[in-house]
Amino acid sequence: MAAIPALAHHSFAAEFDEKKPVVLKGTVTKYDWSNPHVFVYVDVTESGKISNWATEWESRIELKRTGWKPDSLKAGDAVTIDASASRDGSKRASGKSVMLAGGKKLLAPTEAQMLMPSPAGSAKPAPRWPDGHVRLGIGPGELGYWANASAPGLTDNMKVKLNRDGLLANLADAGKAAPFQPWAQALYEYRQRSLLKDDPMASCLPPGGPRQFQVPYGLQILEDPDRKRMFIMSGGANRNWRLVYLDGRPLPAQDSVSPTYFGYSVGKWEGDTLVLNTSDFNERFWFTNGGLPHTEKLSLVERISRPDFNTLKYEVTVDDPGAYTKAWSGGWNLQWIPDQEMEEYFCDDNNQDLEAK
Amino acid sequence: MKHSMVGLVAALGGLLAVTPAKAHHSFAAEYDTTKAVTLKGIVTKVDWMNPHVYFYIDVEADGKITNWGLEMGPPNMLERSGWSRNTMHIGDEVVVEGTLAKDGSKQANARSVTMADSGKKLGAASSESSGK
Amino acid sequence: MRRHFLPALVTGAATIAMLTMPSLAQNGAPIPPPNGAPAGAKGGGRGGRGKNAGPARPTPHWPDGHVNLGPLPGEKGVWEGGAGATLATNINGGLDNPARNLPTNLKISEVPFQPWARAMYDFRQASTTKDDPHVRCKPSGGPRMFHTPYGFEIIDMPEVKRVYFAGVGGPHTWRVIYMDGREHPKDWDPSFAGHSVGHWDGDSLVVDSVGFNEKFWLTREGIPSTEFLHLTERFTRTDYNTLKYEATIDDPGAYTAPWTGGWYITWQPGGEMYEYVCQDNNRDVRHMYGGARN
Repeated sequence: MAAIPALAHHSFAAEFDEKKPVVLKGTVTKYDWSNPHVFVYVDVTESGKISNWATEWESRIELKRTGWKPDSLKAGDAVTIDASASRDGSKRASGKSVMLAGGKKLLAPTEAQMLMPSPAGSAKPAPRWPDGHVRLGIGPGELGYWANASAPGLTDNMKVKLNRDGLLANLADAGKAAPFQPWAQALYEYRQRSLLKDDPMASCLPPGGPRQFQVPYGLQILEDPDRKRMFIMSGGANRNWRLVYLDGRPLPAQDSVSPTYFGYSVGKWEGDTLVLNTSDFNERFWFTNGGLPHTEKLSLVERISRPDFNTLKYEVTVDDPGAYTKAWSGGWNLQWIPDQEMEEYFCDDNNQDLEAK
Repeated sequence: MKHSMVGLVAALGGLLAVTPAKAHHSFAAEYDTTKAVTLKGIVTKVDWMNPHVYFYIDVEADGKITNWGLEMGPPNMLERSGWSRNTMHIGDEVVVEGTLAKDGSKQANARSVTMADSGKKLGAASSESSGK
Repeated sequence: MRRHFLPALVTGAATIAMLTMPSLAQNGAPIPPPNGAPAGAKGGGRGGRGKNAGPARPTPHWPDGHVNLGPLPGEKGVWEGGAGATLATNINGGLDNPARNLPTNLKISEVPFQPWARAMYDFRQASTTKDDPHVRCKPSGGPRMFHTPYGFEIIDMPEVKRVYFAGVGGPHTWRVIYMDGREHPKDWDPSFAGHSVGHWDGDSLVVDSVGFNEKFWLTREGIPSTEFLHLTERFTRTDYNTLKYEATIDDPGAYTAPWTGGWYITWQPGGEMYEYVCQDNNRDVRHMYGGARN
């Protein structure tokens, strides 16, 4: 299956054209083993002239799963790289495979390989705190975190077909993605048609709202019951923390706090489900990976539960009278990734998609 | 009537090494601590965001209007100094005391803002270390 | 604070109209910030923002005896960070903060730099730190979190044998310290935060970290480090309001011997952490006169 980096922190399709293959034969000048992308730079000789190409790959976290190592390549190595050309004609390409002298081959991961390794076998019941309520994070002696969202993106009732970037399989389905107001549908269609090129996450802006439960590299939930609060800690994006208050405080009065990326969140347990209410979002991010619009009037009700040890169930109701004609809902599951930590990842590490503002 | 400050600035330049106590970066890399400025103008834009709130004012001099950019602290710090994001509006007249940008552009770091209509003066939660 | 007010011209003109001198002592040395930090090793501590409520409360402990690095149950608060503090004192560079820095801090001339590292530090200082990665929203390992403004928390989770640090300013990120006696892993991809293991030593949390990359500055003034850095950090709550931070830099790639520096961090009672996103509208990069673009 074609190795499209579908779980990129930005839209592959906006930058590269998988229908335009390019073969680069030359010498490695630099091997940048970083996040969000590993880069391999090669000097290629064409008609007697040497030019330097930048090939972009997945994060080092993902490449390790297909056998890449920090020392797999070095300056001076003779290589042949299969890649997809950039849309803008620059000397940049999205790498598919590297062949080294001696026949060793390094591949970009398949979509299946992009997912975190998760357990097979029967699930145990969800663990509980001494007071009986479900444990959403690690318990004593445990190690693991949540990742691998079971749906590619959030839409109304999860009806519409999307790829893992959040791109519609069929642009004609746009109207079905959510109960849009006309301006919001027009904006959504524009974002989809332009292949999500304006995604704020490409500039390392945070994934607020439901998107935090979807981005690659996982999340960890840190419960702090002594202080009646909870942290939702991202393994991807900017490795930020989101704070949820569980101390019974109300949401702030309208317009009394500055709007933020993660909003102001209060929550409480209803049986085995944690119910979060969040409002006071700013408008400078996309709350879904496909670019569904929102306004400052957005409020979310998120329901988080753990039906068994390996499953985190995430349901969300979107209520934004500025963008939609009524409230709507969606959801997915996350899988428990055992026996490992979220590897360090920062979007800002060597982000070359970032325009210096 | 103009006062030439150039000679005085040059003489004092050597003494003014200031530790930028509250900055998340070096204040001195962006702003010239020897060059204070006072600007009176009309607000044209307010960007109420992190890491710094920026606002822009049209300043009139000799019949010409120039737009200046001013930097303040982050929203949360400003809220502690009595601001909300609705305190200043486009069209408000304000007087700003601040420190000039190093690169000669029409930018400054604000130390205080006085609203002309109410006379209310608020600190700008500046990252310069002249106290709070 | 002495101010010299020269005749001022306040009109619509966008020219220099008033010159204000910053506070200088008689000998020309900078005066520490007036809102001051605890005085010296006695850890006198101040009662809180705007308040001076007498002697500081004693160091809090949990029922099992180990030190509480957060607020007492039912209370709130945040560690304010040592904004303005430095790991080593550089009087000529104006880098001194006697109210915050540990009295045992070295002068910059005493820091056992290798020549290249001293040259790197001097360059960063001479260029007014215009290339600081932190300003470009990059994360930093080690001490930087503890002199970044807007505060941080230490979240102790003894039942899972971990301590987390969460910071408001800068990259707004978190860090995990493993308290379960594990060793550093053999194969570790160098990272911004490195790999940290810790233990309790009386009222101190002692953290041992390796595995750093070379993409950050240890502190705001540009103290360099390499991948060989072995960092030991000691957090000691000397009284309710005071956290003493000591960092031992053992980096044979940049220094000829280990050396230690640190500062005092103050408690902000009643405080809560809040959201701060560096990438939101970061204009500092283009304002850093002569600095690199990203």
